[in-house]
Amino acid sequence: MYYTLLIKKKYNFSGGIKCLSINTELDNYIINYIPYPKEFFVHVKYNTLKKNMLRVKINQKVLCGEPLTFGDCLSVPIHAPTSGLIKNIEFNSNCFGINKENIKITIISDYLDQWIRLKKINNYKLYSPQSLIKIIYRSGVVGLGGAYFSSSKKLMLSINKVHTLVVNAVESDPYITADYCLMNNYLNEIFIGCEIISWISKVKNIFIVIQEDKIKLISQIKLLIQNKPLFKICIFKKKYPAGSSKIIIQSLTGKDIPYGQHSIDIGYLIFNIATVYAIKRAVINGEPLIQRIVSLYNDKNHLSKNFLIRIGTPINFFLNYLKIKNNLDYMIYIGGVFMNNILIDLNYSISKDINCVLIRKYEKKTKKPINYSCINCGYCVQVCPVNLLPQKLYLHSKYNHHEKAKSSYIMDCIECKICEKVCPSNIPLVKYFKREKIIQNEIDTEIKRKKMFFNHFQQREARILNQKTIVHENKNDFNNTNLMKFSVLEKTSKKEFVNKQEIEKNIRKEILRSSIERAKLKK
Amino acid sequence: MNLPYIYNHYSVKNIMFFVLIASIPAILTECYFFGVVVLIQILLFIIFSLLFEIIILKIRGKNIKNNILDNSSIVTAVLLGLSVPATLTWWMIMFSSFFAIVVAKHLYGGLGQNIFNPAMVGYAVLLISFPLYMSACYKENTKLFSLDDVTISINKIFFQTSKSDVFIDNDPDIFTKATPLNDFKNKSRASYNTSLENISLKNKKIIIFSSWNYINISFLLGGFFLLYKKIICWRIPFSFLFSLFIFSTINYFFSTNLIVCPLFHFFSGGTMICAFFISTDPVTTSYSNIGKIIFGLIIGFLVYIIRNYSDYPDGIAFSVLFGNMIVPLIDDFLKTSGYGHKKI
Ligand code: SF4
Ligand code: SF4
Repeated sequence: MYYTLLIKKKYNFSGGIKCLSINTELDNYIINYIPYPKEFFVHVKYNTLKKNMLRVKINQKVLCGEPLTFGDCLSVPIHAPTSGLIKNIEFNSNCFGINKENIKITIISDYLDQWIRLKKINNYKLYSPQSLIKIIYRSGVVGLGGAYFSSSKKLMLSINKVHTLVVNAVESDPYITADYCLMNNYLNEIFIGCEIISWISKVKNIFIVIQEDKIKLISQIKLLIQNKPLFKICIFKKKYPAGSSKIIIQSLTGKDIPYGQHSIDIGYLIFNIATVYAIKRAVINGEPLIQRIVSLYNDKNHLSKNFLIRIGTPINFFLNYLKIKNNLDYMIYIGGVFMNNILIDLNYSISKDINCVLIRKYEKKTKKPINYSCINCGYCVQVCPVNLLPQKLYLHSKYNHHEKAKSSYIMDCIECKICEKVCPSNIPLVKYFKREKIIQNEIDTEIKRKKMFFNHFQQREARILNQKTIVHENKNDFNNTNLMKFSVLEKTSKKEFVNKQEIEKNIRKEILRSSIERAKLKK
Repeated sequence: MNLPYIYNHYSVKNIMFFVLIASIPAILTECYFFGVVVLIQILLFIIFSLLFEIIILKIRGKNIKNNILDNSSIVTAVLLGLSVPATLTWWMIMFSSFFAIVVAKHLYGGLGQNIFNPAMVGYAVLLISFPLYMSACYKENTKLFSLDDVTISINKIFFQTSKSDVFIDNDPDIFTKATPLNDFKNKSRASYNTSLENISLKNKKIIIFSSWNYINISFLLGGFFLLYKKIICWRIPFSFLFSLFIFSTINYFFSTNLIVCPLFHFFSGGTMICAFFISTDPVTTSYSNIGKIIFGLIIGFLVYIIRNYSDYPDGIAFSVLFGNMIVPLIDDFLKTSGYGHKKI
């Protein structure tokens, strides 16, 4: 306990906000299990999923851990969470975009939970990194911190490129305790996971980043890594937001990740603690990723619990089990207190990137918060962790100054929502930013499209020119370059114009002369 | 959505309310030195400001209740009442609050859109229109909070009866000017040293100096309260005081006789009220951190220039207004490098 109080250096970043601490004891966090529901809904959402990538048909029996889809270079396979019968496969395109296809696979559980045969590996050092990455890929491990980026691809990119592995145990939201809970229970396995990753991508140091309030865990880790020179523990200040990879790099090194690059490009490989655990399970136990730890945060009494949940469990069942009876009275949010994205469909299931379910009692708002106009106070500027000017962005996006918004780097915003929370005028800033970002993306694609078409046009012109030169090769008197320059038409029209002018002049002269003559005659 | 989880979450209403609380010590000190007249004056300012606010909101067709409740017009009125000398009649107060609320605030588009600080616009209008009243004097208050005091001050404000003590300049029994700065301005050029030799005047001067010292210190206390509550940011007050200090120090060492010493600048006139209450008004200052520092430096420099080289004794109002004019420019040209771009 006193061990940790001696630590001098705490890593910090500029901006951000302090939060009140949770009043319940951190030691109470253990993993709770819930029984399996009757029906699992597995959502497969990838951008470019083709229908022939499905591996199963309706009315087919599946075993627990059986892959349901083939993966490709972008997506990893998804596995059946339990044994049972496939009842239905639905296709529906998402409302967000046409090319985002959503597949919903319904599995009826037979409560037997029969596993496929798992291939265990005892000594992973006998395998080459490539084959280990293949195993990780086949187990369907993705970034469990919310990024949904395929871990195998990340590892593949990182080979011989990184020098440091950063294990991210920093909760992105102050009230999620899923990562803490995982560390509390499976610390040894996480260490093995770290070693596997270091074996694969040959890193020289492993940093475990953790927030300062988890004192017990820190001392535990310190004891464990005492005679392992590879490991190092880094303690972060308790602040929101600290979980984003951009901000972790900034706090650790004081430098930013250059624009358009990833942390791998500057030598840091960042993995969430849950991902590390999943990698260990995938390699050593041969288990595919079918379960994860989800925090339940109840707003009412600051109760926070963690559950080990099979992916695909409907949230409805989850709530019923917790005896939250009247679902209509509650608002369910996905993500933490800050990121609260409201969930409309209660039949939506736990997917790989959900790490928190927030339950709030629905209250009819008696007092609407008054929205004043921006009073220019600059609180938002002081808290922004990525050094933006939210007030400026707000003005630009409100009045549709897209160019200016872009030059104020609106695309860098990580949508952490602190600026919105500290704003004294209750302006929904992030709403504006999101809209502006969509518009910016559209503008970008438009520009790209224009460029592409212009390229095509130029190529076509060149092609036609080539053909013409071939055709008119022998006729020297025909100057075909003139044709291509669009100047022929222009020249002819100009000539005509000049001719017309001259004719008109002549006519006018004629009239003048005749009038003068007439005047003379009168005299 | 209001969250109970965050430290220091304020709404506009709360911010304005805290500013009001922070100005309480200053109000009390001014009352102590100048009598109940200050209190009555502030009350009148508040009444007129709210009246104008309601009228203009009605004309503009806005929700009256919400806009009144944000307390901003009360803050403007209190600051205005604290910064003017306590010799105004009621119609001047009306005139000043009309300019502050209607012209400076609502004709520009209401709270958040105004370019100029409303309180300072009201002050500047008075300063230009009635320069004599604005630099007038008042007696040392002896009958504090007695009935006599109240009647005198009511007479003064509503009927302007006690005219005699306003315009006399050379009577030795009366403090000659509103602020010692003014006094210094009048006497220094020719005979600062000789006038100091006059012992009776010197004593008076010490009293008046100390009274303004106390008022400034009470503003300082209020300012520290605001800083502690994180309502205002330290950047503007400190850059303002810093630049004022630096410039006046440099000047002081070149000509010790003609120029007052820098500490005198700090604790006289409206330095502290400007530093902590007026220049930190969120609406009319730059919102970015560097912009705030630049703004403070500009105001400090202007105050120094006006105090030392112009005919106005206390340059707070004009320098703040001029700084407000520059703010949109600062805001437009300042950019931060976002995350991971080249540092500017
Ligand atoms: S939401 Fe965007 S602009 Fe606002 S504080 Fe976060 S990163 Fe900055
Ligand atoms: S916090 Fe809100 S009111 Fe203050 S500058 Fe930012 S957007 Fe404007």
